[in-house]
Amino acid sequence: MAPLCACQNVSRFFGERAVLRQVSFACAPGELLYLGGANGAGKTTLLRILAGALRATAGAVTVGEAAIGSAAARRATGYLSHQSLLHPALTVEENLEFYAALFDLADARAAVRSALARVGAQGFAQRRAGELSQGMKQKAALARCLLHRPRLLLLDEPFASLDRATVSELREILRELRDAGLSVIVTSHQTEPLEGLVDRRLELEQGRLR
Amino acid sequence: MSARATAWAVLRRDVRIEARSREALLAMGFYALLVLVVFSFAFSADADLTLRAGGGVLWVAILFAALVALDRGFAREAAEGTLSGLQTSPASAAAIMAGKFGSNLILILGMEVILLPLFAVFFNAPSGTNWGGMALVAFLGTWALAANGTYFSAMSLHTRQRGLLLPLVLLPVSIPAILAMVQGTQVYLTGEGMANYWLRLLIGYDVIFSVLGLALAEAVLAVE
Repeated sequence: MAPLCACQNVSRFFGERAVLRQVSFACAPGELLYLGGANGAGKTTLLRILAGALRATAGAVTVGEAAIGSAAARRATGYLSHQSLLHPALTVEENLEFYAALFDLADARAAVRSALARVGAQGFAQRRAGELSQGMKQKAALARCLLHRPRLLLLDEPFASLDRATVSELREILRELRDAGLSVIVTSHQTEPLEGLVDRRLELEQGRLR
Repeated sequence: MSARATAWAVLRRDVRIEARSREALLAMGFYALLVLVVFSFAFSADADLTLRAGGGVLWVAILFAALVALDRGFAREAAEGTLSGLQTSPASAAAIMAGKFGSNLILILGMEVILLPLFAVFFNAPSGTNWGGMALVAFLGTWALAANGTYFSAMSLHTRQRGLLLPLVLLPVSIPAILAMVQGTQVYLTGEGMANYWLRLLIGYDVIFSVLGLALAEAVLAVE
């Protein structure tokens, strides 16, 4: 089966410092891939490159058949970063409607309702993002990632600063997404919530895949 | 159609955020009012000087107040972490830039709607003042500031001294437009001279820098 996402010899330098060195891997459709490593190993940098939020200094990345950074690759990718990417002065619904416009979704309201329902965030859709608890904010951010129905989901520390109940809820959402055929690449220092869900593990060490 | 929808979405969102926080509007209004009050007191003894310097004072107030709005446009995206959301979306950089330009234009024009009547009071504007002409110059001049300012604000995102860089780059590039704004305003304020030349200069400037800003948007909004 052709990979959904492929990295070939991806390197990233910040000045003279190499954060990623010739990283190569592929993620199959419907695969849940765990990306591990210590702090500073390059996990976030790699996810940002896959999301198109950062350029690789060398190497090639493709999502589907599209090169990273292209509109097609961006439409195929959902990225949950350390920040929610939601403006605190706007309600969750307003934030999602804004992203629906950026992704040029045909029926924005229906897409927003569907994404909110998928993560169980309808209850606080009318609240401003700045007033939400960490757990609510994480769910809203996940709804933003799923809004345009991506094929590849990139999750950077999705369980950070969440209580047990919310971690458990997110785990269930993640299971449903994987069962629905979404490819997921996830980094997390908390590995327990991912037990039984992960198809394959990759380990980064000082910018190299072990 | 899609680019227009993106630009409209960015514009609507930024105006909505500003309407809720009023951060930039209050700072701009306060700064502009301060300039008008200080200069009106300084010139109060000389009615003729007040009239001759009026156009310059008005645009000094608008220019420096506008810097507040222009700096905040993209700085707010960076501070709130939402810039990444714009950059990782499939929306074209030119459409995002157009939306940001639109919201800056509305914000600065909104401040001018309050500022112009105050200017008339503080500077004892003559009864023969052509307010329609003044409004036209204000619109074209504000367009020039917003077009350049939005572009340079995006460009300064990649620098450490963002607040310092924007006026340093924006003001010299805007000199032809500033000259036209001041002279055009002066013509409509005093009724002396012809404004056509200055209006044509402003229109040409607006067209050139709006097109340049959109054409180069991809370069300044690209990820690092």
